[in-house]
Amino acid sequence: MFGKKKIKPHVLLVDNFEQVRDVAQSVLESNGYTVTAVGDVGEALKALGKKMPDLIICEAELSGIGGIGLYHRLKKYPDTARIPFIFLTAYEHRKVEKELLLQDILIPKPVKWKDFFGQIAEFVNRRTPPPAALPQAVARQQPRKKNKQAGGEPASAKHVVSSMQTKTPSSRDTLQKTAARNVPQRVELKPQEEKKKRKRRAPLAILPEGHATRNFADPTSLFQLKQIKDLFSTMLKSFKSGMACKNESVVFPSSPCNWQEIIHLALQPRETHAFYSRPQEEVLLDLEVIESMDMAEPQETTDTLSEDDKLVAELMLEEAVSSDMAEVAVKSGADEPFLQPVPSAADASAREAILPTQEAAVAVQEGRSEAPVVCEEELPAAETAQLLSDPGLLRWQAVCGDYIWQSSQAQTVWVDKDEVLSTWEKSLEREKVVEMCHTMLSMAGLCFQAFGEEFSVAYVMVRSERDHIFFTQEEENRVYGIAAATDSQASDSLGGYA
Amino acid sequence: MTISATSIVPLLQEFCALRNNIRAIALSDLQGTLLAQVLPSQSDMETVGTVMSSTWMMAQESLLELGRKQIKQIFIKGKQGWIVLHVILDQWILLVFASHELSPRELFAEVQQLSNRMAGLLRG
Repeated sequence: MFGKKKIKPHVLLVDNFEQVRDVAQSVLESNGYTVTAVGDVGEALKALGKKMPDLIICEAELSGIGGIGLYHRLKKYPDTARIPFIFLTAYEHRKVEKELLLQDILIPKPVKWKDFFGQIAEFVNRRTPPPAALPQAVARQQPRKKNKQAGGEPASAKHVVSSMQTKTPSSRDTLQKTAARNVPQRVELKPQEEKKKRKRRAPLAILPEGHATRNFADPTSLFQLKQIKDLFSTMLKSFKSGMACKNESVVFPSSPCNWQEIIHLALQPRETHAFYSRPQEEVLLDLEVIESMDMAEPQETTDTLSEDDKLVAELMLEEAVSSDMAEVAVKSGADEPFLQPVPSAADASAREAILPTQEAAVAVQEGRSEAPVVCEEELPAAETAQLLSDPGLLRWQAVCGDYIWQSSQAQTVWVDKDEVLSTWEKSLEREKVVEMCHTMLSMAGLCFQAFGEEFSVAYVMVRSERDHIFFTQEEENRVYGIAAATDSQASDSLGGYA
Repeated sequence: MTISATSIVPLLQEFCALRNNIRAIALSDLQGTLLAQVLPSQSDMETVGTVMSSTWMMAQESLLELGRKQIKQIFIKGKQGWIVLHVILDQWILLVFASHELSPRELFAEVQQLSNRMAGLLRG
């Protein structure tokens, strides 16, 4: 009678969260385990004193000595050291893994409960049996029919049960340990299909443009605190080191996914750098110089300019002509021009020839848009015109307001074209601009995601002791901008908030 | 410094209750530990605390690069609304998430008023 009764492997489950205990217990019990669930280390030690489990599943973050302390204590004594141990935790995995002996494992939380038992079964199967169990292990390798004995029990179970019948109670513990070693055999009885299912990877899904940042890609459903913290610290290190890489989309597996895979994807170095080594000065367009001339309408300009400014303007124009630079026409916003026209550049035919679009030329002719501008700079005219007339810039201008462009500092970078516009007081590296904008906007996006909203940010304004710094981007056109504004400028831009 | 969350939570609850446009509000320390919060049901406290402190830290780094020393406030415009992060007594970060119906001017005024009241409680 006793021989026909199956021995259920006994699991000691230690977790301070009742919900986790309940779910894990029901999963394990439905798969033929007996579970003792406790909430802290003290209870766990009491349970161990009453009955040795075949397997321990334990949370690392527990009160008192914690799960790791319990683990070390158990590993000190031969009787408990042999018990397979699984950490089921969301605690920093690296720290836990450092503590783990080779034969034990960690299952990270959040747990996919449907795979939970498969993971445990695989672990128990993989676990190397101690030398004492080798005969059973060898026996298991024999054909199944040879293992079958009375009652259809596997040989090992039979062996254990019959031993229990004949031996004294004092040897019970030893027998239970033997049973623990035999757990793999019983677990192995689970269908193989389950293991195969678990190994199947979810298809990779490429997220749409605009949702990917250097380190994050729309992780709405993938938030896990520890990993995010790791990513933040990596991002910060990268930021401090001044390394700026091209902001390529990161391909994240769709949920369900493996977090280690995500971290690997997020942290792997990007293939190409965003910029060439061309010095910033070569492509610098100093808007401030032009703005400081306080130039207005063409016919009024000569009256409003000071003598010094006139001289600077003449020198600039002479230089432009002598270097055979083409005139640069700029289609500025209809309401908020950020570059004022220079009088001597009023050559309609030349302007039409280099206007970026026909519509823009028509707009200028019909007076719907501002007149084009001649800028002293070294960029090829067509590129500059394209850059300045780019919708991204116009949006950037709309975001920050013309005040910032006309009398404050700003720097804008077009990632793909290796261009930079700057009136910044000190020479900012383009990589830094991109990195800073990208970082700030990514973090801002995550702020919204933390509330279940879209990962989408128009701009970030940071108020310092001196002024306000705006960070913004035009994702589609890959334009990044940083601008500094005084209190009143920022206040005007934001509807008079200050 | 020992802070009593019991005195701050009612203040946040009152702030939200009186304004329909406030969608979330939280107070954390600079390390991201939330002291008090009124969050939507889908938000996780730890996540909110982490993004708050991380955003603040990143902004601080960026501003140092740009030659500034200290952040007073971060203002984010998103598709769904505004998020304001405001420092209180150099030790605490107040986050307010408001929908677009609230103008920046109103939002800043509300945040300033609230932060003054909270500063009083945190000092006390």
